[in-house]
This record gives sequence, C-alpha cells and structure tokens, in this order.
Amino acid sequence: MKNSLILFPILFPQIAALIMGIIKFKNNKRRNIYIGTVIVLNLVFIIALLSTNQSMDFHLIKINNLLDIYFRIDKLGILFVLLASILWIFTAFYSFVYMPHEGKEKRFFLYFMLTLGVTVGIAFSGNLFTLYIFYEYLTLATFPLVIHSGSKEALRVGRKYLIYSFGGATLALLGIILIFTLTNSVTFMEFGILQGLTLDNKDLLLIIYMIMFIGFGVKAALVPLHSWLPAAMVAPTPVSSLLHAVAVVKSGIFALIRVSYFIFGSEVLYEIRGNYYISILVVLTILMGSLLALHQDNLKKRLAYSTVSQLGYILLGIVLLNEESLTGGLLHLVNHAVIKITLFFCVGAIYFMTEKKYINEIKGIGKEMPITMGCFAISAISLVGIPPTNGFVSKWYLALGGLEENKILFAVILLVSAMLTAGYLLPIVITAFFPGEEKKIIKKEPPLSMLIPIVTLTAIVVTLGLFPNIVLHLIEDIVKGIV
Amino acid sequence: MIYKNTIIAILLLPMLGSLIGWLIGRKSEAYRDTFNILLTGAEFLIINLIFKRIATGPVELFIPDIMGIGLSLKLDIFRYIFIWVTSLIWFLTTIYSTQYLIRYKNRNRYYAFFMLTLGSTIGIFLSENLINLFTFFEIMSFTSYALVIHDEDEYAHEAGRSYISMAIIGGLILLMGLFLLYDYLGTVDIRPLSMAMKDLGNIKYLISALLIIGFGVKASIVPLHVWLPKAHPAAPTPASAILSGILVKTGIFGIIVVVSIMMNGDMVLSTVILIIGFINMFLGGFLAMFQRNIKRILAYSSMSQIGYILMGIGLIGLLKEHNAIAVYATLYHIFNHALFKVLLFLCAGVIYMILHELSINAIRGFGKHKNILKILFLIGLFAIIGMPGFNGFISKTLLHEALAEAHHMYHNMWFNVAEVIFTISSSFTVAYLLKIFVAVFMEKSDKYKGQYKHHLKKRAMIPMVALSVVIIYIGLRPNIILKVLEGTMVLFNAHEHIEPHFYNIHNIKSSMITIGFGFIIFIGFISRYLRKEENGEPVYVNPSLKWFSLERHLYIPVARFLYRSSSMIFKVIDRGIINLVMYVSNSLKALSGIKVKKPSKAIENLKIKKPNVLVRKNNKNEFTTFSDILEILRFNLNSLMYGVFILAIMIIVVLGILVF
Repeated sequence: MKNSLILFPILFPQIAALIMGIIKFKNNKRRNIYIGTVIVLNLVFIIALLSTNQSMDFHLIKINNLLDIYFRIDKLGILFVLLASILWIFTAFYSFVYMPHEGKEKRFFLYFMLTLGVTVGIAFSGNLFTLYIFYEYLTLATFPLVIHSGSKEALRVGRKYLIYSFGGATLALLGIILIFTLTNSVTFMEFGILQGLTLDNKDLLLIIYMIMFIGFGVKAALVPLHSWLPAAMVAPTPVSSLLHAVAVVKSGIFALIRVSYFIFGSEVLYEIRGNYYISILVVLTILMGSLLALHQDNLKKRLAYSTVSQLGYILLGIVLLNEESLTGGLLHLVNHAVIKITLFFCVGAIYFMTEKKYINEIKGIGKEMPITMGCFAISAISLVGIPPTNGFVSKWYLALGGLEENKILFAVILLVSAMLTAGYLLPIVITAFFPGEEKKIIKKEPPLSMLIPIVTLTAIVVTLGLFPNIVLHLIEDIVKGIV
Repeated sequence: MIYKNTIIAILLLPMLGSLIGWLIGRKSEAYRDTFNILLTGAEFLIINLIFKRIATGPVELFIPDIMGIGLSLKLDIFRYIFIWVTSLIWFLTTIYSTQYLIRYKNRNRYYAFFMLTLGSTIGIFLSENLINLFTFFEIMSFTSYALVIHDEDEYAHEAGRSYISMAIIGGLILLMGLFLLYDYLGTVDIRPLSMAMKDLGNIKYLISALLIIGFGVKASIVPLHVWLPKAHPAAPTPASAILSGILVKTGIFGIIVVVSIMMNGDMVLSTVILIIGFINMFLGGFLAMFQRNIKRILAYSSMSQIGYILMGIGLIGLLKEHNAIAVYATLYHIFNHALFKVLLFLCAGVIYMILHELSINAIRGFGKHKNILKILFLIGLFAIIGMPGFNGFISKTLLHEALAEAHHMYHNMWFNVAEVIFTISSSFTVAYLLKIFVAVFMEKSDKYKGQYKHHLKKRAMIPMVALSVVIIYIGLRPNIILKVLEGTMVLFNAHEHIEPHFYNIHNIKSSMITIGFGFIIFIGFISRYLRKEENGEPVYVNPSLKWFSLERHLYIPVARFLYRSSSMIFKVIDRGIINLVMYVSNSLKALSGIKVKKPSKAIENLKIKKPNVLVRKNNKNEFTTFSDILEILRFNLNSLMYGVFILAIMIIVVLGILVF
C-alpha cells in the first residue's frame, strides 16, 4: 500500500484546513506559523514522494471503468504540482501581511489551504473522471474566496463565476461520458486512448473535442467564455494572483492538455482537424485580451485581461500540436505564472500601502515604492517578451511552433499581441517612474514579508530568462513523451 | 584565456559599474562622478591595451546555457573599431556630463542608465550570435529611453513615446526575422549564417528585410526615422551626443552584419540599401536646413550622415571584388561621424548649459565673443563638411571614390544622378552648419557681450578639446586608421590592397566645389528665404513644420484607426455571451408576463418560507405571473442549489442538442 501515499499531499492540506476551522489559535502569529508549516511541509512531502518513485498510481474507489477515482503521478503532473506548491508558499507569506487588510482571514486561509489540496488532486488525477471531480471541487473551494468581501458586487460576481464554471464543467462531463461510450475507458495515456479506434465517425469525435475544449476552456478563459475572469478581480489580491493567474486558470489549461494529448492524442486531433477550429478561438483570445486590457483603468482588471491573452498563448501552444509549440506552451505555463503573480503582488502592494487602484492615481509611485515598482517593471518587460527575461524564451518556442506549421500568421499574432502588451504595461511603468513633477517623496515600501516574495519572484523571472535550461529540460522531457 | 576574460570584463564592467555607481551616488555625488570617470577611463584603457592581441586575430568566447543557446562573443578588428570609438566617446561624455548635469535632477538615475547603455552597446558590438545581439539591442533601447525622457516634461515624454514605440515595434519586427531565420536554418550564429543563407530561396530576402527594418529603426533609415529628430534633441546633451554618435551606429552595425556579412553583399539588397542611403542623405540634409533648434539640426544631420554610411554599405555589395575602397570608406565614416557629431553636440550643449535655450532665434549672437567655443565648433564644422585637413575630408573622399568606382564599373546613368545627389547633400551639410555658425557665432546681439565666462569649467572643455585633437590628427594622418581597417578586409571578402592619396589637387578641388555650392545654398536660400525681419530683428522661420509629416499625418492616424476599429469589434466579442444571455432572458421575461390563475401547490409551499414577500404581492393581486414564481424560486435558492440548478439546465440544453 505504499502507493496510497499519493493521497497524502492531496488530503493533508485539506485536513489541516479543517483542523484550523475547529481549533482556535491564541494569536494570528501562531496561526500563520501553522499555515506556513502545513504548506511548506506539503511541498517537502511532494518532493520526497517524487524523489522516491517517479511513477506511482493508486485506485481509491473503483466501481467501473468510468466511476473510478484513480491517481497517477506523471511528469506533467509533477511540473504542475511543483509550480503550484512553490507559488503557494510565496502567496501564503504575502497573504499573512496582506489579508488583515481585508479582514476575515481565518475563512480565507481555510479555503486557501483547501484549494492547495484540490489543485494537487487535479495534478495527480489519473483519469478524466477524477479530474472532473476535482475540477468541480475546485470551483466550490474557490467560490468563498471570490466572494470574500461579501459585498453585493462580490456576490454578483461569485454567481457569475459559478454559472460559468458549472456550465463549462457540465459540457466537459458530457464529453467525458461520450468518450466513455466510445472507448470504455477514460484513463489518461500518453499519445491518447483513441488511437486503436477506427475513425468511422470523425465528426462525432470533432464535436466531442469541441465540447470538451470549450467546457474546460471556461476555466482557461477561452473567448467568448472569459468574462468571469476580469469580473472575479473583486476578490482580494492573493486570490487574484494565485488563483486567477495560476491555480484555477492553469487547472483549466492542465485539463486541456490532458484531454488533447492523453485522451485524443495529437495524431487523432490532426486527423479530425480539431485544432483548426479551436485555433480561431485561441487567436481571438490572444488579441482580444491584450486589446481590451488597453481599455482598462483599473490595474487589476488590466492584468486580468492580460491573463486572458497570455492564456491564449498557452492554448495556442497546445492546439498547434507540435513539439516546439507544446514546449513553448508548457514553458509559458510556468513563466506566465511567475510573471503574473509578481505583477499582481506589486499591484496588491500598491493597494495595500496607498489604497490606489487606478492608473491615473499612481503617478510617481515609482519614487515612493522603488523596489516594488522596479520589480513590476522587470516583470512587465518579461511579459512583453523582451530578453533576457523568461517571457522571451517561451515566446521564442511558441513562435517557432507556429512556424513549424508553416503559418507565419501565428508568429505575427504573437508579436502583435506583444506590442499591445507593451502598450498596456509600459505606460504603468512610465507614469510610475517618470511623473515629471516634483513631489515630496515619502518612502512607502511595503513590509518585508510582502517585499521578499516580490523580489524573489522577480529574481526567478530573470533567472529563468538567463538560464531557461533549468525548466526547459524537464519540459522537453515531458513533450517528447506525449507528442 | 586572459583575453577571453578581458572580453567579459569589458562587457560586465559598465553593467556592474552602473549598480556600484548608483549605490555610491546615494551617499555622495562627487565620489560617484569620479567613479564613473575612472570606470569609463579604465574601460577605454583596457580596450586600448588589447589592440595588439586583436590585430593578430579575433578572440572568441562561448559560454553555454545562458539564455538557452549560450552567450557567444567575438572581438575582431571590425568590431574593435566600434567598441573603441564607443568607449572613447563614453569616456569623454561622462566627463562632460559631470559638468553639464549639475543643475539637473535625478542625476543618479541618469548615470545608472548611462552606464547600462554603455554595457549593452558594447554587448551589441561583441555579439556573435543574433539572439545575444537582439538581447543587448533591446536592453539598450530601454535604458536609452530613460535617458531620452530624463527631463520628464511634456516634450520629452512625447519624444520618448515616439522613441519607445518605434523601438519596440522595430524590435518585434527584428524578432520576426529571427524567428524565420531560426526556423529555416536552425542557427543564429553570424558566421555560419553567411554560408547557410546562400542556399535559401527567396525567403532570405524577406528575412533580411525584416532584420533591416528592425535595425533600421535605430539607424533611422527613411521612413523609420520619425523618432530621431524628436528624441535626439529631447535628451540631455551628453545623451543626445551618444544617441547621435553611437547608438545609431548599433543599427548600422546590424545592417552591415545583415547585408555585407550574412548576405555576402547580395546585389538586390545592396541596391536597395544604396537607394535608401541616397534618400536619407538628401532628405536629412534638406530638412536640417529648415530647423531652428540647433540640436534638431544636428539630429537631422545625423540622419543625413547615416545616408552616407548606408551608401557605403550598398557600395560594398555592388563593387564585388573591388569593394576594398567601399569598406574603408564606410568604416572610416562610421568612425569619423561619431567623433565630429559628438563634438558638435557638446558645443550645442555648452550653449544650452548656460542659456537653457536652443532655438537659433533666441541664442543669436551668443558665441560672437566666445573664441574657444567658436574654434571648437568650427573644427567640428570643418570636419563634417569635409574640409581638407580634417577627418571628414578623408572619409568623404573615400566614399566619393567608391561611388566613382561603381560608376566606372556599371556605366549606368543612374550613377550620374547619384553623383549629383551626393554633391548636393554635401552642400546641404555645409549650408545648415553655416546657418548655425553664422547665427550663433557671427551675428551681433545686444544681449550677449561675452558674459557667462565663469560658467564654462575645464571639465566640459577637456572632452571637446580632446575630440578636436583627434579629428585634426586623423585628418592629417589618415593612414593610421587605414592600417587598422586593413584587418577587416577578410570579413568582407575584399582582397585588394589600396593606398589612396588624399591630398591631391583633384580631391581638394572637388571638396572645395562642394563647399562653394554650400555657400551658395546658404546665401541664396537660407539667408534669403528662411530668414525674415521682424521688428527689426532677424528671425529664422521653419515652413517645413506645416508640411506633410509621416508621423502626424500617416502613422498616428492609421494606428488610431486600427486601434479604434479593432477595439469596437473585440468589445462586441467580449460582451457576446452576456448580451446573448440578456437577450434571451429579456424575451423570456416578456413571456413570463403571462398570468396564471391559480398558484399550484408547490408554490403555496414555497410561500410559507418567504411569507413577507408574497403576502405583499398577494394582497394586491390574486393572479400570479411566471415572473413572480421565478422570484419566489430565486429567494429560496442558495448557492449550492443554484449550482445544481445550472447543471440541470445545462444538461437539458445539451440533451436537447443531442436529440437533434
């Protein structure tokens, strides 16, 4: 029963969260130590688990081939789980300082830890059914975080979030059932499970793929199903940064990778031309996100639309179906997570220190918060895709992937979007640093425990840009196994 | 090994120095200034010291893993010329800055970015790999942006916007070229590319066009020059000087790499570059004559001089095996332009430092009694117009000879036109510089009678004197540089050995004719049409302000139109689903107005849970509508129920679809 250890990183944070709900801590410091320990321990345990055995699987409950709660560790899951757990730690430390600002910290941290367990569950899911269960669970676990402030606006947005997520998940469920009727299996397999199938009904497969892509695409903010994401920015900053730039949206992406490469397989997709139709939506996603980001004056909303567009990059990497593009997509999955979380942290730090949310209010803030805004500037440049930062590396691979398909169009779209990205991010940096008016400067750097995550993440942004091989080798390894 | 380390040192020294200087500057400004001067001085010294080694052969260096493909650096004589002049100019402008910036704010930031720009510029010239080159190129764009908008006023921001948007767009176009290049050839190392490009079909023209556009934005080739006349004047003078003297050369460096090295001087490409060169040469000189801001005149002048260099690059390709003279001419002019343009900018800076004014109309007569400044400016002027005895004469003569050689080789009538444009543009150069000289240094003004003497410190004058000395020395002993340039011949596949004689009657005569023409243009055009009398005061006017402007009348309207129209489309998509749902729900609401007589039992049950709402309603009306029922339902739903509700609806819808 050694394999049952796989359940531990999924259950441990959830149990710890429940325990936190029951016991009362003497003061906030103790609670924070408890939370920090749980999250760090979970990462340590995951690493220990991975270092002992690379391939591991476990059936928790198996009723039939469909209703089967099955966990399995593979390289893709490892990548996702490590990314999420590491960023969870940064967010935890950031939130310790930030959340008292918003109130109701206990509830926040409870669901915060719960979500960690769920995310690990998504990463370790071994078949579509398990993935679906955790996917729905993720919506429920994050819902209280979205409506955290309890305001009318937040509740309205929360409802929107639920409608979109459940709607999408239902579509996905339909797809799962249809897949099951075809193959009698929903287990993830490299190169897909449809391979042996005689393709007498290509249209049916195409429809199934579209249904599933759009279903899971809701969480990946695929246009036109993206509008929950900008709306969900009413949530506190740590939620926006971790969940709506990393965990939730990337779960959607992760599910799509699973569907595309572990259920359908790239060869089948080529044959049914599933990628062709989806790529239209993806291109729309990329361009629309970055163009509409230009219209937003609220910093967080601007970043949210930017997330929509950047997720489009990753989706593009998935639907192009070649090695280079998937490498680029997975790299961007990691890089975008790091960059976007930094940008959100910086915006959060500005709000935390000065209560400012809009671009026209932050004139000259670079002189008051030089380190925070310096990190913002570096991350912004990285998101545009300027070397030597990590955004450049992923864009490089994505563009090459696009060219591999003999479509110059994709590379052009990436560059147009990069230009728009510069258009919506650099003005923030410029107004922050070059206000053109003399003002008395009062240093307002945020407290250290907010600043340290920001600076460390920025360092990661540059390090991954200078030495991408650290992640690149892992990703190339994954890609070779599934394309 | 020691030389490899030296290469890393000259790359990293300014970058680290930028950080250290910034830290020192927080404590003491004087120490920081000394540190920066020492640092750039050391950089210049090191570069001088490694000359002997470089002359014997290139030094190459490869560090794997950096940015995935590794950092590949190379230093040969060709690159050495660029970094030598870069480090010299930087050393001198740093000294100059310490005086110039005294009354400026944010000096610490300025120096940090100034040094970073140095590091990245050196990096561009050292890169043997196009990705590395692109990286340094982008860093340079961003760091120099901070220099351009240093004043942070309206004008600087406007110029900065032009600069950064053009730089980013140019960078992305360059990147597109790199994507294609890597996709087709799988390498981005410059040397192997020259072999590989040969076997590539017509796509190589697309690739090189993209690369040239990317580099051309920095080199300000027409029509990508719109940022230059704005950005160069906007920056503080030492920064303008390096922008005009060195940073445009990064673009030129890129173009040389693409045209002459990667494409081996391809005929088609060379012809295009040659034509662009003539357009640049003519247009820059022509527009310079109209300007009133002296820094702007100098900026347009840079554009014109870049035209000469581009012409040289074109000729390198066109002259094929006889291209030695064109190689000499191009590289020599690159070198010379850096010297005299920086000298002229520094002279302009001295005026600005004292008066905070650059318009010819306001500073008229300022230099009448300033003899040293007058002499220094005159040296710069003589150099740029190609007066015998100054360095400009040498390179212009070489360029002219190269052009004549091409004419001789092709017997094409267009070369007659080219000769004419060459001469006219050179005369423009004379005319617009005379305009500055006459207005600032010769005309009388009641305001300026030789005051402000104490404002000029040695620190500002030394760099200018040093530049003048170099200019004259090279002018008199041209063979020193020619000998150095000989080392670059291999790179351009040039095999001839030439020993030109510059000081002969023929060359001096043609130079004098050009200068004479320039005088005629100045007297016949500038003095007559651009100079008007107003209230008894002579005033220069600039009618070109009302002319067609690429940026104002083409780029911005097109960009705005694209932006607005696409925004409109995408806004519709953005709201698409929501609008659809709203539409459906509105029509459903219209349906639900239909009245139902007796509420069913289920609704009765629901009523009990929320009596207050229903009591109020039922008192008014016995009838219940669908909408009332829905409202009741809504009150009784919590989030979880809602989720189930949505799920159910979705399943129904989907089943409906499947049935069909």
